[in-house]
Amino acid sequence: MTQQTTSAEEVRDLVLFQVDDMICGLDTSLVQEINKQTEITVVHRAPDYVRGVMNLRGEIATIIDLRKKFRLESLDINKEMKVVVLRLGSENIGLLVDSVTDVVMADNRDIAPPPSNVSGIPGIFFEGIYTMKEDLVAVLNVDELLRTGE
Amino acid sequence: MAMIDDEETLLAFVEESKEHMDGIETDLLAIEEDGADIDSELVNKVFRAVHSIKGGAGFLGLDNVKEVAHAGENLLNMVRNGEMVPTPELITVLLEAFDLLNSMLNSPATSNDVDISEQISALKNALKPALSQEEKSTPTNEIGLGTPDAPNLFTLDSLDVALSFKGGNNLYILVYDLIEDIEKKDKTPLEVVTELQQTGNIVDSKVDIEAVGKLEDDPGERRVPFYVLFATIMEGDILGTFIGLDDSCIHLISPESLTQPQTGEPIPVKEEATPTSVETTPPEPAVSISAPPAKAVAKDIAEKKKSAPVKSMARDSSLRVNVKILDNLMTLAGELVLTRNQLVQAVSSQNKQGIDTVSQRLNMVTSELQESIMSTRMQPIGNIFNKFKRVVRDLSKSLSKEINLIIEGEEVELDKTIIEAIGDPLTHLVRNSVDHGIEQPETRVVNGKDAHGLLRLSAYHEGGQVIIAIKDDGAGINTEKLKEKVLSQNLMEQSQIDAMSTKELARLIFMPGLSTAAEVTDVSGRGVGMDVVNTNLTELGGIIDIDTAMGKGTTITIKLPLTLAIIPSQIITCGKERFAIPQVNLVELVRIPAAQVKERIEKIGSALVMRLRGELLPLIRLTDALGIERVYIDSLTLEEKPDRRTQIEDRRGIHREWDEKPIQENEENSEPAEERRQSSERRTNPISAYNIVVLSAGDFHYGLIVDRLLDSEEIVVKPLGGHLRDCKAYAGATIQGDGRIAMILDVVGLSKLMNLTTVAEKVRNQLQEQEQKKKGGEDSQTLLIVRNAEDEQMAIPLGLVSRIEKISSNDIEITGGRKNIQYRGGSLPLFNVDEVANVGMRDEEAESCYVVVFPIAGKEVGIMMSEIVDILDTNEKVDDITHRQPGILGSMIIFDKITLLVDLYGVVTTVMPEWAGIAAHSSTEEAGGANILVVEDSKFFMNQITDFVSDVGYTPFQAEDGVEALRVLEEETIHLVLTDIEMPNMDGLELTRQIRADERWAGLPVIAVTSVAGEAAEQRGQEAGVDEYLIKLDREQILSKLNEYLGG
Amino acid sequence: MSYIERKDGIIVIKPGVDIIASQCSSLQDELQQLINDGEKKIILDLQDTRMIDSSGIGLLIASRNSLLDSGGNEIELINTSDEIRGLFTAMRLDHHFTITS
Repeated sequence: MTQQTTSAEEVRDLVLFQVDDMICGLDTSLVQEINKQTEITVVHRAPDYVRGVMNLRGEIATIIDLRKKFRLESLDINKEMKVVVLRLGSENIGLLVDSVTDVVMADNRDIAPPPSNVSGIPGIFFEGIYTMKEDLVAVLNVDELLRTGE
Repeated sequence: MAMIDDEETLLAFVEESKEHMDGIETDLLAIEEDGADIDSELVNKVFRAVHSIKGGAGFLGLDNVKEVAHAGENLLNMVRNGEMVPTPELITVLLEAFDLLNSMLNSPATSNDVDISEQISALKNALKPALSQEEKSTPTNEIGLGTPDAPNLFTLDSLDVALSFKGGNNLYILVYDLIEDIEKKDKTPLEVVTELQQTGNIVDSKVDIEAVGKLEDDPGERRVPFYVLFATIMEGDILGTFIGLDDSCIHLISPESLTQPQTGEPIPVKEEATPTSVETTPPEPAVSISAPPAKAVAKDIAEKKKSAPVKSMARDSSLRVNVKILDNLMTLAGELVLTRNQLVQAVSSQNKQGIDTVSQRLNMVTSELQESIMSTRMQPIGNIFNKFKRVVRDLSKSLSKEINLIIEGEEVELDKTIIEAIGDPLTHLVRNSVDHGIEQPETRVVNGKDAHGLLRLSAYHEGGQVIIAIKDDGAGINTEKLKEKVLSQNLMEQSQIDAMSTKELARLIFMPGLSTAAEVTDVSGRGVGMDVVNTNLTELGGIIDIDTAMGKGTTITIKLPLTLAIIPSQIITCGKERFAIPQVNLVELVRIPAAQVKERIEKIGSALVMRLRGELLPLIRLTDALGIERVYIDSLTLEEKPDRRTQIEDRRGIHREWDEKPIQENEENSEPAEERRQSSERRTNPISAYNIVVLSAGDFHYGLIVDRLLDSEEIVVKPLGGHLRDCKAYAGATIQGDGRIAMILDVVGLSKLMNLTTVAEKVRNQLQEQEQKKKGGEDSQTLLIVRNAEDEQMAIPLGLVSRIEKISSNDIEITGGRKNIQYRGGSLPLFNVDEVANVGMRDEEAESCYVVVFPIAGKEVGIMMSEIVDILDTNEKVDDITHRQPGILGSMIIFDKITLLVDLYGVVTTVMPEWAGIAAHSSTEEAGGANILVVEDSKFFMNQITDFVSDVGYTPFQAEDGVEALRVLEEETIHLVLTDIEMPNMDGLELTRQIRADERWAGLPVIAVTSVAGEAAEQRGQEAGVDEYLIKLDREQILSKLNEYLGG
Repeated sequence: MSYIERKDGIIVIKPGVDIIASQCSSLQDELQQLINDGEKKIILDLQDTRMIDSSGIGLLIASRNSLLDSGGNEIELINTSDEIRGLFTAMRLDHHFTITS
């Protein structure tokens, strides 16, 4: 994950989505696409946070249930849910979220380092907390989130 | 001095150089073997290879590469000239120098920073013996090249000159003036040089420094003459236009015009017939193409290997491909274009016929295209095998062992990614053989072996796979030591180890955390590495097998799929989900019809097993292995509900709750599924057929219980992502035609998941035990084999049957709710077994049927059957527990089918209970509790007879054979003996004789009950003293005789 | 104007611009001056010099010739860009100038 650290870049675009009662954010540069959750094929005996796999234009994308990853109760698939597709090395990984709410331009100065836990979820999954006008957005640390071999 | 930053040229150079280097090692080893008997061709070949590397390196500023190559070249030159003999020491120096060269070629950017001093001095030292007089470091033949105005501009080795002509190149001297020809034409020197490099080869260049003059000179008059010795395939006239240089400035060097500076005589330049590319290329000329980055699969595998060295840029990104294949691809591409055109036309004109034709053609072309492309990736395994020559040589030398390496099957081809991925595992295995397998020469001789150890590496095709075998005649794997090691490290329990076969013990070597070498030797590193080898191979879809004998040697066999990407497979379903099973692991498909399930599926311990042609096969349910909830469809609501049955093999017959989901057997039936379910509500169908896929997992087989079998398909294997890599159950996934994903099952992984290896052993043992038990045979019976419901076989003891009639269904009448038929002047009541017993229904619509006529309650009745199959004598054991129910006495296996033994009496009396009373001639009171001794070795018959004897009020006593019978006779007061004939220890006839011989029992009624009918038998019985000779299971008759002798 | 300083006893001249026809004359004068001053070795710092064209090359060679003529040793090129380095190598000018990165 490369971030430009030159002083010219003070803002970044974040895509916001809902996971349980949290608003989470991800740098749009990391996001390949956002899909409706089309057919997710269950994979038995997979780690519990893996909801299954999906056919993404002929490639197999692992779908990670963010709720499960955060050890929250997971939901049955509904129309609101979306899959946020990221690229990790040579594969595509999709994050299953409750809904995608917005894309905002966030000023880096408004992003503070995360506390050791965020609503009970280990802080290591987050890069920072972005303070918006009315809400707080938990900006995700993709490297940690997608780490295999839990 | 640093490098030209021209990526393309550099890449091309590295590419080519690596090809040269590839062959060099093998060649050097061959030269070493030849020893004093120098093969000058071979030496020349190596020399030329090194020479051209030196040349290219020079141009590109790869100084270190150039230096090492140069030093090596000198040495080789000595050998070539016969001035030095290629001793092992010499060869070793060369090998090491070229190793260094190789690693520098792998990262050219840093090559100049590498410390080459050691190799250089080693090379120079090796020269010392020969270099007594001169310090000749350059070959002698020099040629001067120049223009008419400047004849000796360049001085080159004749070889270099010859080289520059290769590939159809023309050699020119270009005369530039930087100012006039370049600046005035608005170009820069850099541009010009780059252009030249792109269109050909700058063999050498020179600026006439003197001619530039000095600072004081008029800058406006300054000239900078620049000469380039340039090799290109371009012809003179085009060249000028192309590089923007006047023809007068382009001087063609023709081979004939070359002069030697010393002698001034023209020298013949040999056209190099063989290109300097190395002989490991395929016989037809090959073309290098750059392929798109290696497939994700290969990358994933590569990434997984933590100890994997950094891959060089050249390795992954290009391929040598046979020109024929490329031609084929061109042709197919053409076909594709044509087909596309046809399709476009057919679609626009809505021509259905046309579309069909085109689609067929498209199908074919696509398949061929795909095959052809896949074949570009096939590489011969010799590429890797040959590397081992060096490995074995070096390793055996350092261990002071003598080893002969034999390589077979180098031409066997494998997908490129597989070849790359097996390199490491194979290396490990080979090193293991050398290190731990083959013994020291002294040890070998002491044990009567040849001092030279034999290591054989072979590759061959078999059954759609590639087999690689590594075979040594060394010490074999010490299974005792292995056991100790495993136990001492608490990796397994003693009991588990004891249950293992030799083969399984050998496989312990793959356990993580184990090292069996006395010390972990530096040389092959770890015994720990074997589990990594296993993992690596399994990831590739391969299987590894070990065969070892202590003192004799070890053979390791690896089976690999030919390509990674596409495999034929069998699609199966489990609930709504689809799975693919690689055809290569599939042994056969077995379907066990409902009726046979109980018989053929058993339990050993907690494991399910199945009987297949006498073998017991461990079974697993796919739903169990994957933790899928089993569902069934409720026959009333047609909803899916969880299937709560736990043990199929224990079930009795009488569950009324639900129906199984319809399975293939229903599909074969013409009745639609709906109706079938509904009709089955009238009767219960507790078990449905089982579909079992028999799979091969390395060294054993097992069966997988699945729901349905769909088609077999060729599928594209897609790798699973990092998060799913650890799932043992899957080897990947595939996207089917409808876009749905089917997981590809890992056959070996599943077996491990369910711990099948030990089960397989247990099963084998159990089977042996059971076989032995079975040897105690049963009495022979004559049975009438019939069919009631279409798929259900039944048996009736022939002795009980009066007659068999065939009747037409039309003649059946119904009186008072009961079927009957006019028969012999009276009416014959007709019964169906399925009226009484939980069995399949006879097809009532059939035009005709058979009636088995037998006597009961003083009349004759008939039981209807759809078909008469056969009559046979059998001593099959009767299973009187599993299928026992009213109307059915038990079951046995006849003609490989579960056959139900009909209780004729039971059928009738269940329907007409009142007849039961009539049948029994004596009432309880009358019987007065007479003591009847039943002598019978078969439990089944014993129970039968005892039952109906006591039913009517007699008191039965039991004896297993004649000997026991006599004992009972001594102890008890017996009024009648009912005895079987065929018994161990003392048979019925002997018993009878003994009874008759004894005064006490002379008048004792002895009735023989037997299953063997026939006059001869009766005769013998009579002679022995038997009073009556009856058929077993003929309840009627037996009871009436009892009555005769005892009652009234 | 080039930046000129003495380091460890050796004169270092850094043009700071491309050495192309249009820029040549001032550099020429500077080099001429250094040679006239009797410098035996000149280090030409090519930091920020991205291009040398034909005239530039001519100038450098002439300078070298002059330097050697007056008893000097060599001209050393430092901080050369990859391109310049590559060019000089292809033209075998690295036989006449010491090129260090």
